[in-house]
Amino acid sequence: MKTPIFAFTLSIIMCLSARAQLKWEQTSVELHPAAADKQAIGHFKYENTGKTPVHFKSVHASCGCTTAQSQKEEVPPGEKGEITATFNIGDRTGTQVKTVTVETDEATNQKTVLTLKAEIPQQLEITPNFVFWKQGDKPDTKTINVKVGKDFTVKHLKVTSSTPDFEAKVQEAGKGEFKIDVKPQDTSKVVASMLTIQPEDSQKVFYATARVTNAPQVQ
Amino acid sequence: MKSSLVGQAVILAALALLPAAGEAIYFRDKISWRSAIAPSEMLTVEQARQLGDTAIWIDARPDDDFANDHVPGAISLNEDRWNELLPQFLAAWAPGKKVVVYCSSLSCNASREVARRLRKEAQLSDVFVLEAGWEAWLKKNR
Amino acid sequence: MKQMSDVQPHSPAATGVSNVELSRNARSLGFWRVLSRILDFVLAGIFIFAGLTKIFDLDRLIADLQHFRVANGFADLGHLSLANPGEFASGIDNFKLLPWPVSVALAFYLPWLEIFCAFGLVFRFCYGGALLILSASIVVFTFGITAAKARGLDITCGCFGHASQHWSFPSHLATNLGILAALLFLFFKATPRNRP
Repeated sequence: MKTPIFAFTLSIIMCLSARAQLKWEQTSVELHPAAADKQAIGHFKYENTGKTPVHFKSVHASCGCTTAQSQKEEVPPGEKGEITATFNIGDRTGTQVKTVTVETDEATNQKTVLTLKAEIPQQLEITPNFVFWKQGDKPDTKTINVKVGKDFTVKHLKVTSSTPDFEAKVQEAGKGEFKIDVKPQDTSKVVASMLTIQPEDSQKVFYATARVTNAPQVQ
Repeated sequence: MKSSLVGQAVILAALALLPAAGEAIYFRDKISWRSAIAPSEMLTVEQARQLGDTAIWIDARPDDDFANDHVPGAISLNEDRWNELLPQFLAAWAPGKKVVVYCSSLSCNASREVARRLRKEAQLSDVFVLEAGWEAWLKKNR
Repeated sequence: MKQMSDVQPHSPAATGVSNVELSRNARSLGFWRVLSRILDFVLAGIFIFAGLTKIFDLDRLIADLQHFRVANGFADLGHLSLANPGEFASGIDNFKLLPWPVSVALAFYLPWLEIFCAFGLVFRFCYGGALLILSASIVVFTFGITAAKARGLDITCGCFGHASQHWSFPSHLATNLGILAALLFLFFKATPRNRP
C-alpha cells in the first residue's frame, strides 16, 4: 500500500522540483493582429529566481518567418528581462503557430519552448482560387465559393477579369457567402486570366486564377 | 499475488494488441511511422526524380535561400509572398503534373504548409512534400 | 439445558459481538461493495469514452449531446467515422518525450488498452490487472503533463481526444488525480475480496 503511494508522490515531487531557475511569466502568447498588420510581436517576460546568473546559449525560431531576440545574454539573479519574438505575417492566413526555442545554461530545464500563436483574420476565404479547363473541354461554368470571415461584414463583391477570355458573375448566397460563376469564352486556345475580387468599401484586393490549360500529355 | 496481477495485465495488454494492430494496418497508407506526414503525401528524392518531366518542383523556402541555390527548374512559392508568386506557379501547372514541394530539411514546416494550401485553396491533387527537403536533395546530388 | 459445546465459537455469545454490531458490519460491507461497483462502472465509462474519442470522430456527436440534440445524436451514431490517429500521435509527440514512431504505436495501442481494461472493470475479468494498467497509465499521463508544464511546453493532453482539447492544465491534473484516487481505492479496498 505504502510503496505505490510513495512512488507516485516521488514522481510528482521530481516534476515539481524540475522547475526552472528562469521563471517565465508565460510561455505561450496568443496574438490577434489586424488584417492590415505586417507583423505580430510577442513578448515573453522572465525573471531569474535562482541564486546564480543564467546565460542564454541560443534563441532560435522554428521558421525563417519569425525572429527572436533576447534583451540580454546574461541574467543576474533577481533580474528580469524579455524575449521578443517577431512574426512576419506575409501572406499567411488562419491560425499560425510558431515556436522559439530558448537554451540556457541552467542545471535543470535547459530548453524552453516559447509558443507564439497568431490568429490572422481573413476577410475572404476563396475556394478554389484556381479554376481551369483543359483545351478542347466544354466551356462549362465553374464556381468559386467566397466566404466572408466571421469578424467582417461584406455586402457586395466586385469581380473583374483581366482578360475578356473569361466571364465572371457574382451571386449572393446569403449568410456571408458568395458564389462567383466563371466561364471561358472558348477553350480552343490556352489562355489565362487573373480575377480580381474586391469587397465593397474595402481597399484590400483578392485574386483567383482562371486558365485554359494544355491537354495533359499521354504517357 | 503479484505474478497473478502481472499475468492479468499481460493478458489485457495482449488482447488490446489485436485491434490496435488491425487499425495500424488499416491506416498504413495514411500515417507515416517515420515522420508526421502521411506516406501518400511524401516522396523521397529518388521517388521524386522518377517522376521526370511530370514533376513541378516548388521551393517553399524564403527568397534569399531560393536565390542562393535551388533545385534546377524549381519555382519559388512561399507564404511570405504567396499572392504574388502563386500565379507564376499556376501558369506552369497543367493537369497530370505532380507537384513536389520542398523546404530546407525534415524539421522545416514550410513545405507542408505550402502543400496544404495548394491542396485546399487551389484544390490541386498530386501535391507531395519532399522528405527531408533541400538537405536530402543536396546529399543525393553532391 | 444448553450445552456449552453447542455454542458456536463465532457466535455473538462467544465473541462478545452483539447482533446490532454484526448487522452494522454487514451493512458497511455491503456499502463498500456497492460503492466499489459504482466506481467500477464510472471509471469504466470514463476510460471507454476516452478510448472511443481517440478511435472515432465523435466531435459532432459530443456537440449534439452537449446541446441536448438527442435525435441528431442517434443519427450521428449511424455516420460514425474513424478518427485520424495522426492527431493523437501528434498530441503524444507534442510532449517531446518520445520519438515519433513510438508516438504512432501508442496512438494505435493506448485507446484499445483503455477500452479492454475498462471492460475488465465492468465484467471483473483480469480485474486486478486492469486496475494496475489503468493506474499506471494515469500516473504516466500525469507525469507527462506535469513535466511538459515544467518545461514550458504549452500542450493539450488529448487524454479524452477532442473533448479535452480546451482543458487547462489544472483541469487535466485535477481530473487525473481524481481518477487515480478512485483507481487506488478500488485496488486496495476491493481487490483482496475479488481476486480469483
